[in-house]
Amino acid sequence: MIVALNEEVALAVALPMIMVLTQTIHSMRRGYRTSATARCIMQIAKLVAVPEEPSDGDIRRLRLRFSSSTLIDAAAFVSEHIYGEALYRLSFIVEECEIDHHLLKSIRRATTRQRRVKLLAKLSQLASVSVAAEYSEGYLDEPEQDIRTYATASLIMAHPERAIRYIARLRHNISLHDAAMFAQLMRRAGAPIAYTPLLTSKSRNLQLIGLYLCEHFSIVDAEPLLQQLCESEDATIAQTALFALCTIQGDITTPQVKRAVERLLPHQRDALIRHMVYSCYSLRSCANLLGREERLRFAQRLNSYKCQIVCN
Amino acid sequence: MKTDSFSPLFSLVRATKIAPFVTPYPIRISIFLETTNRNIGRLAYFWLGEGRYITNCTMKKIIIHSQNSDFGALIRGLLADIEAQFTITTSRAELIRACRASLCNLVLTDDARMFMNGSDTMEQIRHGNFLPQVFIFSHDLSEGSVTALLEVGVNQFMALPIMVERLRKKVNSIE
Repeated sequence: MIVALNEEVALAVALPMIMVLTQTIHSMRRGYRTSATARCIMQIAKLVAVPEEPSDGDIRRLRLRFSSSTLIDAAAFVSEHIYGEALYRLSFIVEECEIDHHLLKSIRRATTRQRRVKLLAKLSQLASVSVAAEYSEGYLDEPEQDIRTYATASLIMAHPERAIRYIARLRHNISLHDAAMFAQLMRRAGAPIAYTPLLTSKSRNLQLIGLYLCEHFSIVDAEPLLQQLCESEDATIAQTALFALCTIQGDITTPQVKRAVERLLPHQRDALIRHMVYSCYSLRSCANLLGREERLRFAQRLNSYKCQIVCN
Repeated sequence: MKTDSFSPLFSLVRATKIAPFVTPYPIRISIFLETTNRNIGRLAYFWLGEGRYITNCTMKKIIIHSQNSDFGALIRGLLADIEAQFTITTSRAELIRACRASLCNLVLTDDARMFMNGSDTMEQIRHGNFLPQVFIFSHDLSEGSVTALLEVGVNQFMALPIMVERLRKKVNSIE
C-alpha cells in the first residue's frame, strides 16, 4: 500500500512538472520564432531601403540564416507595409530567395483549410511581386469560401486589370470586409476603378465593392445611385447603401430612404442612429425616420458630442 | 496587472545604488537598446533610467515605439543607413523612460491610441524645453482621428503602407 501511495505521489508530482516543462519549451520556441521573424524583417527591410539591388552575398546570407517559413512570413509582412519602388526591390529578393516557390509548395502540402487560407493570404500579399499567383487560379473552384476569397485576392494583385472578372466569378456572396479587402488590393495594384459600372452592375459582389468605395472616398456624385440601391432586395446592399448615403451627407428625407430604414432590424437602426449623429445630421432632418424613443436617444447622443449641427 | 520578473532585481539595484559602478561603457548600450529581445532591452532601459549613461554623441537620437516587434524591426530596417542612434521600445512605460533618458530628436510610433482620449502621453514625451518630433503610422485615415492627433501635437501623420523614400527623406531632414 505504501508502494502504491508512493507511486501515486510520484505521478502527482511528475505530471504537473511535465506540463510546465512542455509549456515552457513551447513558449520558448514561439518566442524564438517571433524574434527570428523580427530579425528577418529587419534584414529584408535593410536590403529594400537602399536604392541599389541587393548583392549575391546579401541574398546568400539571408537564405542561410533564416528558414523558408520565416522568409515567407517576413517578406509578406514587409510587402504589406510598403509600397512604391521598394516593392520592386522586394520582388527581386523574393525571386532570388525562391520565397514564392516555397510558398506554393507549402500551399500544395497544406492539409487543413485554415493553413491553406493563411498561406493564400500570404500569397495575396506577395502576389504583386511574384508570378506564382497564377497557380492560385486553380483554387477558385474550391468548395471552401475562404480559400476562394483569398485565391481571388492573390489573382487581383497579380493581374489587377482582370480584377472585376475574378470578383464576378466568385460563386458566394462576399462580406463587407472582403469587399474592402478587394478594393484596397485593386487600389494598391494600381487598377483603374470607376464607381458607376460597379454600382450599376448586376453582380451583388461588385455592387458591394462600389458601395465601399463611395463610402470610403465620400463620392458625393454617387448620391442618385445610392438612393436607388437603398431599395435593393439584398438586405446587406440596402443597409450599406444607407450608411454610404449618410457618410456623404446625402438627402435622407426621400421615400426610398424611409422605406429602407423601416426594413432595418432594431440593432441596425441603433447603428444607423450612431452613424447619422457622427455624420452630423440634425434631429430635425431625421425626425421622420425615427420613433419617439429613437429620437430621444438621437438627441442624447448628439448632445454628448457637444457640437453645433446645421440642419441638412 | 502583469507580473514583472525583473522588478525585484531593479528595486534591489536601485536600493543599493550599484548602477553607477557596474554600467557598461555608454556607447554599448545602443546595442542592447536595439535588440528585439524584450528583457535585454528592458535591462538596458533600466540602466538608462538612472540618468547617468547617456551617450554624448551628436548623432540624431530616434526612438521607434511599437507593441508589435515586427513593425519596430521593419522601421529600424528601413532606416538602416541613416546616421542616428536608435532605440526600440515595446511599451509606453519604456517609451517614456527612454524619452527622459536619451533626449531624443524623433519618436516613430504606430500606437496612435496612446495620444487619444485625453491622455498626457505627449506631455510626458515632451518635458521641459525638450520637444522631440513625433511621427505616427496608422491605417486609420478618418478625418476625426487625423485632426485629433494633429491637435495633440503630432508632427507628421504617415498612412500605411509606407513609401520608403518619403520616410527616409523626412527622417533625414530632422535636425
